[in-house]
Formats: sequence, structure tokens, C-alpha cells
Amino acid sequence: MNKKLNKFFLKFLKQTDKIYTHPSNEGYWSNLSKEENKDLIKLLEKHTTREAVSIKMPMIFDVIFSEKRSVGLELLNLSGKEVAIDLGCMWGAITIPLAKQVDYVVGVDQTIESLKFTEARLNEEGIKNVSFLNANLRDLVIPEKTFDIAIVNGVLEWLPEIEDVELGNYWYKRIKRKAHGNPRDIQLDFLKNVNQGLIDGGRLMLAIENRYDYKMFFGTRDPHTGTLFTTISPRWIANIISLIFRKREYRPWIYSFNGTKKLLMEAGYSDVTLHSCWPDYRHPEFITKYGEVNNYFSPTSSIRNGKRTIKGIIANRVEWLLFKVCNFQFFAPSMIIIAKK
Amino acid sequence: MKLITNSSHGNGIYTFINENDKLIIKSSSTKKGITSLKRELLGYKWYFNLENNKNYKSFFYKVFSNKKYYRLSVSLFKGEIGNSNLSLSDNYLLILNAIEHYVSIWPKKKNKFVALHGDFSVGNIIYNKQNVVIIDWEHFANNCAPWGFDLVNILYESAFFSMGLKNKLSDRNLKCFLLLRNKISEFLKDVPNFKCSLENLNDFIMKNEKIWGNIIVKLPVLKFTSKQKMYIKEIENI
Repeated sequence: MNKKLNKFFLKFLKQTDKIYTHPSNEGYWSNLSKEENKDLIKLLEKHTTREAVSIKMPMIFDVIFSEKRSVGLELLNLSGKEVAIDLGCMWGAITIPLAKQVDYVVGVDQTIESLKFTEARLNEEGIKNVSFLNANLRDLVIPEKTFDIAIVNGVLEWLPEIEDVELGNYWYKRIKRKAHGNPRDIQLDFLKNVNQGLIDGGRLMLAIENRYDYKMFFGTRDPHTGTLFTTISPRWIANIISLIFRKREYRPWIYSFNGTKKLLMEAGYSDVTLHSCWPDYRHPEFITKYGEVNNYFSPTSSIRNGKRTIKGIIANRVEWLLFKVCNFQFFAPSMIIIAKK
Repeated sequence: MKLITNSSHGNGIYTFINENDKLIIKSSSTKKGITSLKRELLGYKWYFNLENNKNYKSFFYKVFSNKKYYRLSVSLFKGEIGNSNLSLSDNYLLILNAIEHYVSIWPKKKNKFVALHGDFSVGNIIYNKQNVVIIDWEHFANNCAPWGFDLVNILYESAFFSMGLKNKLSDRNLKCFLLLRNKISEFLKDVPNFKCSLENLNDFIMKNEKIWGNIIVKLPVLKFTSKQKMYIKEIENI
């Protein structure tokens, strides 16, 4: 840890060997409910992290452990000397491969259980160059000009959700939720905060879904709320759909390629490089600089779960037409963006 | 930077192509992946040091690594990477050129085992008119296989992917198969105890599982069904 970071961490309460608590640590975001998460942590007393996940939640084993998840880091062409911050690091899918490549990583997450789990993973792998900060991203002030690299992977869209998120109780559920502040403003403030935390020439890697993912036009549900057509509708219509079917405002805003770029420019980033990815940013099989042709691309839809379904085959053909023949990347499923300060 | 494969067969290796700097970049942060990449570099070095390899002048590589991460960048050669989804007849010329390339460079040693590429397939060949470059040396091993093993592998792997619904090759594919097989058999004449047959190929792989490790279950040439095997035996006797 360098001097600047050391000074920063001194302000906080040390909770375990690697985890520090920020006063603004209130909040919760997890695929698991609070109780499931407690059970998982308990399992770690007797099992390795991989065993614990296989026992407790084999469904999301790949989300946590798949090597595919961190492929986007390669776009940064890291030199090994960087100090990085992984904002919303959760179970370490990016944090751990990142720590293997750079000098030091700070992982930030509001959910303490996720950090405890990731700490156990680090110990298993013998990785020492990581510290965690248990903090809420909306309230944390990132120390000025400290980091070479910032990672915001599948996090930006969730910032406007100010109440706790237990994904199982969020996705298809009709539950009222508190809401204040314009979602875009909240996201913009956060991106500005990240920007001031980067050194001059520092880079942000942002991974997020595309609002105009071609599947959204064919009745695939919103990846965040499970509603139909909410990403592609104007926000006020999305709000009405969400109020009817989910009893709450539509908050997890995502943007088009240009929309995301505009947001980043507004937040003060100077050089924004867009990349399209298929089938999504979590497990990309193909990545291409936005607009460029990738000769090696082949449709990814029908092979998703190893099963061939009629829906999958149609999606496969649509993908082939849109991206292989016409190269309309405007409709690509996800994006990974490298933005320079 | 274009991602073209992401941890295929769960090997933990990312493959990017950087067209601006003309590089193939492979990287990994898993133990398995790092071991494979180190092996790949050995393979490349062996291959480009061969006396008759015309391409050696334009080859260079760069490694960035620490204990837990490895990134290997090697030069990207002009040309197209073969498409293993195409049929045997569509890939006929490419395979023919690959065979000639192999024969012209691969050193023969009397009664001794030679180097092995281990995954010599259409998808691992860059071709540009007549010029052929072999890539993807993750399974490279030296002094461990009979000369020509890789040739037999590319033939049967292509045959596997060309098998029709009735577990047979179409007439066109069959014709190409026989032509290529005759050619390879001729080159194998002076290699003891190894012939151009599926049985020989499978036997050798099964006896030397170690070379392929976990990947062995994914090898196409081991995936022929018993019906297909019967058919292959039939056409081998034509």
C-alpha cells in the first residue's frame, strides 16, 4: 500500500485483516438474501469458498468463479505497477484477477458479507495486495488523484436504487421502494467522484448493458427489473410500466453506447473508447471496438445454456443478421468502456 | 483489440487480436492457463527456429508475467485463420498446403520420436496464398510422438467435422479424404509403427494422455461414435 492509501485507510475502523469500515457503510446489495449470506459465511468455517458455493448456491458458481468474467481487464493492457480501485467488487470476480496483474487493489462494497467471502478467497489464493473498504458508493468520497485504474463492473445502473437490494426480492417482485433523486444525476455524481480519484491519465473501466440490446425489442425481460420493454421506452413510459407491474419507479437506468459516452464526457472523462461485447459483459465471448468488424464473431445466443431452443435459434439468426452481416453494433447486448481522465 | 476466444474449454486463456500492432495476445491468471502459455512459447520458439521455416524472420514475441499472471504477445501473420466449421472439401487446399508445410519443415529422426503440435487443426493455421503459419502451440511437446502424428490428426479432425447426418461423408468430402489420406500415407511410409489410420491415432493419444491432460475429452478425433468408426474403417480400406 502506498503512502496516500495508507493515510486514507487510517481514517477507518479496521475490522479484519483486510477489511476496513467506512462510516457510510449502510446498505446491502446481493444476489442472496441477508440470511442466505449469513449461512454462506458460516459455511466458510469448514469449507473452501468453492465448496461453500457449490453447496449453498451452485446456480451462481460461474458468476463468482468463472475465468471468463475478468477478460475485459485485458483491454487496459496493464503494466503491473498500477494502483486500482474496484468499485462494487462483491465476490471478487474482477478483484482477484486484477490483483494478480497490478501492484495494489482496493475493493469497495457496501455488503460486508460479500467482502468477508472475497477475503476468504484471497487467503486461499495467497493474494496479499488487496484491502477492502466496506462503504456505500453514493457516500464514499474517493481520495483525490490516487488511483491509476478504477473498475465499475455492472454497478453503475444500481446506484439510483437507494434502498437495500436482495436480488431475489427485487427482480420479479411487486414491492414498493423508496426513491429520490434523478437516476442520471446520481450516476453522474458517482462518475465525477471516480474521476477526481484518478491520477492524471488514469483510466476507468466501465461495464454495463446496452439500453438498445436487440433482445429487448423481442420481448426479453429487462435484465434489472424483469419488466418488458422498459429499457427501450422513454423513461416516463418505463416509469409507468414499472409502477403498474412493480409498484415502484423505474430506477436502474442504462444507456445506449452514445448515451453512456455522453454521460462519461459530462463527468469529465476526455478519451472514451467504446467496445461492444457478446453475449454480455459478464461472460463475453467476443469483444470488438465499437463499430469495427470482428471477423471471428459468430452468434452466441443459442449456445448459452448448452441447449438448443426455438427461441435460441431465432435469436441466433437475428444476431447473425444484425452483427455478422450488417454490423449494427448499436444493438449489441453490452458494452465495456475504457475512459481516460 | 478484439476478443476472439474466452477461456475455451475452461482453460482460463483469453485470446485477443490486435490488428493495429499486428499481435496475437494470449493471457491468463489461472495456474492451468499459465502452464499452457509457457508451453506455447516453447512451441513457438521451436517452430520458428526450424531451419526450413521461411517465416522465422518476421516472428517476434513479448512476455509480461509475474507469479500469478502471464501475457504472451506474438506476431500476427498476414492471412486468414482457417475455419474448422467448413467441410473437408472446402478446406481441401488449405489442408494440402498445411501438409506440404509440415513435410518441408518438420525434422525427421530415424526411429525416434519427434516434436508434437498436439492441436494441429484447420483453426490453428494462418494461410496467405501458399504461405502457411502454424499457431496455437499450447499442447506442444518435444520428442514424444511419431513423425506425422499431427498430419493424421488434421485429416481425421476435419473428417469428424464433415460427418453427415447418416454418419457418412458426402461424395465430395470422401474424395478429398481419400486423396489427402493417400498423400499422408506416402509420407508415413518410412515411419515405423505408425500409419494413417484412426485406430493408430486414437491408440497413441490414449497411451499418452498426459500430453493433453484434461483437454483430452474435448479432442474431436476421440469423439467418433462406434457407427462412424465402422464407416471410417470401411473407407480406409478403399
